[in-house]
Amino acid sequence: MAKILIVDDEESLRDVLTQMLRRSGHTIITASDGEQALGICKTGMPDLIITDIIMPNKDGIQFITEILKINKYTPIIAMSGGRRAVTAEFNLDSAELLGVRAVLAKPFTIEQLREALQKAGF
Amino acid sequence: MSTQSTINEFKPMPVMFGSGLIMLILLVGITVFSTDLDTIFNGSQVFVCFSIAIVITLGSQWWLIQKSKLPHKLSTQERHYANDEKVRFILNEITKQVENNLISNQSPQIDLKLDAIALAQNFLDCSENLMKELRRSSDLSLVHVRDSLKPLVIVLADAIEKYVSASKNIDTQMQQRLLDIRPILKNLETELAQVVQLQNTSESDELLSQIVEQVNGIVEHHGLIDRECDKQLQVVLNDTSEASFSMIALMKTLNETTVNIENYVGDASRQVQSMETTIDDSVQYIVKIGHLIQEIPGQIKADISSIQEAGSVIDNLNHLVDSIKEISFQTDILAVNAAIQAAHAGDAGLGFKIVADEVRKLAVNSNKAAEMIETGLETARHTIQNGLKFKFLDEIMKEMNEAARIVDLVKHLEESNEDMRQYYKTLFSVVNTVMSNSQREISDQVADVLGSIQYQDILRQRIERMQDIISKRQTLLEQFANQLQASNRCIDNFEFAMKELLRDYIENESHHGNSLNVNEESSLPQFELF
Repeated sequence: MAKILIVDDEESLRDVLTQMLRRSGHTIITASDGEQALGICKTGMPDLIITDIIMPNKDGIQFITEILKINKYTPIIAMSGGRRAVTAEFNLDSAELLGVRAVLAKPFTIEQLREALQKAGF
Repeated sequence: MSTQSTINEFKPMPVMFGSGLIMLILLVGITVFSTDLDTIFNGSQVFVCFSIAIVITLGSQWWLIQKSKLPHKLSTQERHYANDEKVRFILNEITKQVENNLISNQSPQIDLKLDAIALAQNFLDCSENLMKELRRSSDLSLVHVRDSLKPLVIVLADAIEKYVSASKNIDTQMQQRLLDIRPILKNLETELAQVVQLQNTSESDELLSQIVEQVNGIVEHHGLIDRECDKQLQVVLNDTSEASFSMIALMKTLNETTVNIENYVGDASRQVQSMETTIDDSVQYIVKIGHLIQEIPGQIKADISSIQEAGSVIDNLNHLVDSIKEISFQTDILAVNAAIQAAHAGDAGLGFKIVADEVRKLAVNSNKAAEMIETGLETARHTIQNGLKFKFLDEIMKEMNEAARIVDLVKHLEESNEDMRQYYKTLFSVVNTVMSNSQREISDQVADVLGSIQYQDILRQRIERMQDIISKRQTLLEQFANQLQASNRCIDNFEFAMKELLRDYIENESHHGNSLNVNEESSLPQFELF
């Protein structure tokens, strides 16, 4: 139904999310860092982006800023783990200030993921 | 005034058409059903039906005419009143109309302005707090943010001030102008009252009815001028209140944005502070360990050298022991020799033989002692050697543990440092983006606000033209009052003059791109309907 882009440097998380979302009938593309994700978006903007914040090669915050510059109505969901809870909170606050639709703190449950998807309009 | 205008716009033509249609339908109905009514009315059915139809038609006409009737109260009431009462009543109407104008012009703007001022104050307070917060941090990125925010705040504060003072100005001017009419009308009232008292003959009745007619005409146009001006004022009010609303909305948005950024920066600086404290603690601990590590080799060296000293002492003692053994061996030989000599001496040497034997025993004992010392020293050396080995190992293990802990700490420190760098990077990038987005929005909206302030100029001009026509009307009324006082009968011109004044004003307004006149085809036919 919709084209969803998942960006995270952890392969296991990418796989889990891909499987879950594919079941609802969406097309999934994945990327492992900000550079790769930006390249994918430039060829064709997806309908929803789910991205991690702490990644090598251009982190989530930079990626989100650039996507919103291109189209400020793109639905984005931001996730963050962080080595400490404090870092994760800060990163999610920053993402909200930039204008993402929903945030998720790792580790999150399926319910929380569903809530976030609803907030983003899916 | 508005109810009058809606009733006045009720057109008589459709009414006529409607009633005619009803009549036709009734006639048709009668002819169709006439055969049924034959038996009931016995020939007079046509007459009955027609009368019913006429009654219904006339009734509906009368009802419709009642609805479309102009509440031209002045002319109807004028006929019912006595002569002096008539004129007084007319003048009362004039004053009432003017007073209504004044009441309707007490702008609701005042409330909006208070809101705008309160919000402007709040916004300035918020941005001051933000400035303070940013000033506390010496980070270059935040300095940049602060510097880019300050001029915007100043520009906006200036714009808000200008707007508020401009609207205050217009308010006072408008009220002043309309207040000026009152005394002139009061004057006119007293003058006319005096005139009425002086004239009591039937001749004066004719003059008075003339006057009344003229005054009627004047009042009518007076009312129309007022209505025109009122419309203009309404447009002015609407536009200024729209501008006020958008100002308030703008300031609310700015308020929200600055409050958000304030909270965000405040949170961030608190978190950064706690991270810095953790890093400081770790660094102090590492420095302590470093000192300890530096001291350990020294200690170990000291231990080793004291052991080595002990070793060399033992070696020296060994030498001594060898000497003792040598001495006791030689003493033994000497004792043996002494025994032999004693044997050669026979009985005289018996005493000597005992001494020789004792010496031999002494030699043997000292040898034994020497051997015991030797063994003891050997044991001591072995102990030292073994002990040295274990002691070394202990130290090394300790050292290795400390080293492992330090590696952990350093790694932790590196991570915290990396966190800090990431922190500042994110902070800078987010605040920059939000600020530049708001900057764009703010500069767009500031441009709008400045545009609306410029609009105040246009409003001022419009109001000046209104003032002009009002003062011209005042002059006319004054002239009229003077003429009455001089009992001059040539007062025909006034109605015409008023009419001219109104026409000129409306034409003038349409040249100035008046939005009111652009929407309607032409204002003149509006009052010609009456």
